[in-house]
Amino acid sequence: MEPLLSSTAFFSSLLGDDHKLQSGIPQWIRDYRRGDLDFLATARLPSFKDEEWLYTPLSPLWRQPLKLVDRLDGVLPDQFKKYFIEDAVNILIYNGRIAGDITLPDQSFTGVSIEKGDAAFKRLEASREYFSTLTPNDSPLFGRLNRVLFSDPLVISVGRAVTSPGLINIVNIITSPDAAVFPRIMIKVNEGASLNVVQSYLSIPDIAYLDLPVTDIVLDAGARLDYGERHLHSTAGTHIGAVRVWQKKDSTLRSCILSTGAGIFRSNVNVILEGQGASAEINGLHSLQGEAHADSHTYLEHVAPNTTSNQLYKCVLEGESHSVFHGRVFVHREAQQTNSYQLNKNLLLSRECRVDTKPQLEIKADDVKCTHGATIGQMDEDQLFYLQTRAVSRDEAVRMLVRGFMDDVLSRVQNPLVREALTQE
Amino acid sequence: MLTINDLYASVEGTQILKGLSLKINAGEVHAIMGPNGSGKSTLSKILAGNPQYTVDSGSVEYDPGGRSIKLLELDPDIRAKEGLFLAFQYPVEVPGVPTSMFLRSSYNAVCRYHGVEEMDPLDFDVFLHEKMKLLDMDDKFIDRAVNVDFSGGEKKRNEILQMAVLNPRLAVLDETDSGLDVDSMRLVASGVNKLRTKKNAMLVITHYQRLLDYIKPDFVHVLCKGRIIKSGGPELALEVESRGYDWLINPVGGLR
Repeated sequence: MEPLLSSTAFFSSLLGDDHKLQSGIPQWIRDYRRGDLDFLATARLPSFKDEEWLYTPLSPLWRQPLKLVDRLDGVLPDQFKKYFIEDAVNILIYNGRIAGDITLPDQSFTGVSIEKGDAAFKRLEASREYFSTLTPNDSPLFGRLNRVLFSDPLVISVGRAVTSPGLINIVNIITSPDAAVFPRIMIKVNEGASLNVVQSYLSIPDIAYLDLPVTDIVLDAGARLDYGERHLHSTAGTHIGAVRVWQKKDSTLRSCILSTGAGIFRSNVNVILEGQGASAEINGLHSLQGEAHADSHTYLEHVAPNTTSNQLYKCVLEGESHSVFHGRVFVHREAQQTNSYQLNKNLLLSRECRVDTKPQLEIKADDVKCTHGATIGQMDEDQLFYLQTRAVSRDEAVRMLVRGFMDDVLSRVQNPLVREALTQE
Repeated sequence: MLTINDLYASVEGTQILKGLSLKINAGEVHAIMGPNGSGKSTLSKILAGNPQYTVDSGSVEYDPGGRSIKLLELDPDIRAKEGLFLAFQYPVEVPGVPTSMFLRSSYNAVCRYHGVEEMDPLDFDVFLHEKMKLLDMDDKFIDRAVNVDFSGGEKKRNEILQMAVLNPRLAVLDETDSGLDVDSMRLVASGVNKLRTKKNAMLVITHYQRLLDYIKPDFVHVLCKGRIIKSGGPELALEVESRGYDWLINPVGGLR
């Protein structure tokens, strides 16, 4: 038997003094928390037999004493200013807390509301059906940890049929060593509306922390969201993030997650295509060096007929880095005429790096088109030689080919604002 | 310009070239013909520096203009910077690398090597379009990734476009006619002929004589079992065309 979570330094540093967690939190959330705390008090650590965590050892995390940051302090270091984008709505989440007031600059955000504090809690209550759900692929542990420990929710909603052409840019920054932060974000795009959102996750170098965000996305009938995440974490940081999406009829999600990994990096993307004609494009690109680690788990659930999902996850590995991909597509019996494509490609640039990949399809319907696959390869010597015969040095040829490998993912980011925000140096 | 002296070379432990010698002067076009497996492509790969091929003995002296270089000691990209060009028999597809960007990097790498100012993107675009006209290529070629989704003919034209951009001193054309219909071959050959000057030289490797109707060689060599067994003028190619290789390989006649 694995040890109890409650016996760890992790647990006692975060949950040892639990009454503190309840101040300013509405009663209905406290009701959930009671159950969550009971669960966590008796939970055992995920073992190596737990497939969800098979390739991502969490043991360093449990040994780590962490602290909750309950107030904002210090001035934002200059190096982060460049991540704020002109003409976008910039929201700073600083060491887990939403900093400052949020202002919507101009009419390109008419019909968009962005709320924090009590207003945000009220919005969450109105969407309890989503809030109360624990998704399967992050294991109940982390979903509950966020629900018990988040304190500063952010809710973005767009009114019916509002097409917002601008960009909402959420910048998560961690500067406090050993901080444990629990951002909780909900994005609700109402019927026929559309929105563009990018989240950057940044930190100062080399500090240890736990970043455990949950981002819930609800796309009503005919809604569209262009969504991006960019992760530039500390090499000693831990990021365990969940993006959970519910899609109604004819809604569209286009998502791209970029990272350079972290000490422990786990990205869970969970999409439920519950309305006919809904489509989701879920892409990812990781570029790992040194001892960086990046684990992407995706779960695409086709519930309704005529739904589409498309996934391309790529990873470039150098040094002793390690990438994990576990992509699961589940097609329900009712979800006829489903189209689902999933591909994971890995490019190994060193002998010491490691890839674990597991594409997985479970199909209960009989009239579907589904493909999946994974490749792990090295630099193609024929391509390198060809470029060299055209006067390109070997180093430059390697750079060109790596860039070509990665551009395949970036070129799929259709929205120019999202692409620019993700790729800006 | 190029002096190959008693060259022995192997691939994967099998010796393919067995004492090949050849001399090419500036302004000359040499053709190498030979049956399958005679070592024609191996020669082109050795000259370009393919790391999968090993030189066992012999030397290759290369003179791009006023100085002699030991060609075999150079990395492939340095050979290219020194004016050697290989048109591949099977051009390699390079997904994700746009043709126009690739051509400009290639051109500017040569500029940097020679201490000449690089060309900026706009000027290069004008320059590239001039070269594309030579080969009747339209814009869609250069917007796509290098050789990806190109037809056989398009790939070969792309090789000659690269040759036009790099303007080599010595061009080695490896079976540039293979897989081409007559119209494409005529187009490719006319592109090559426009690049022919008194200062540069070409080595045309081909299985069939037909390409030599369009690219007229000064000298023809027959390669067999890794050595040149006969050299002559353009008439040798015609003779091979009508009589095959057998009379050269087994000069005694049909007796075994």
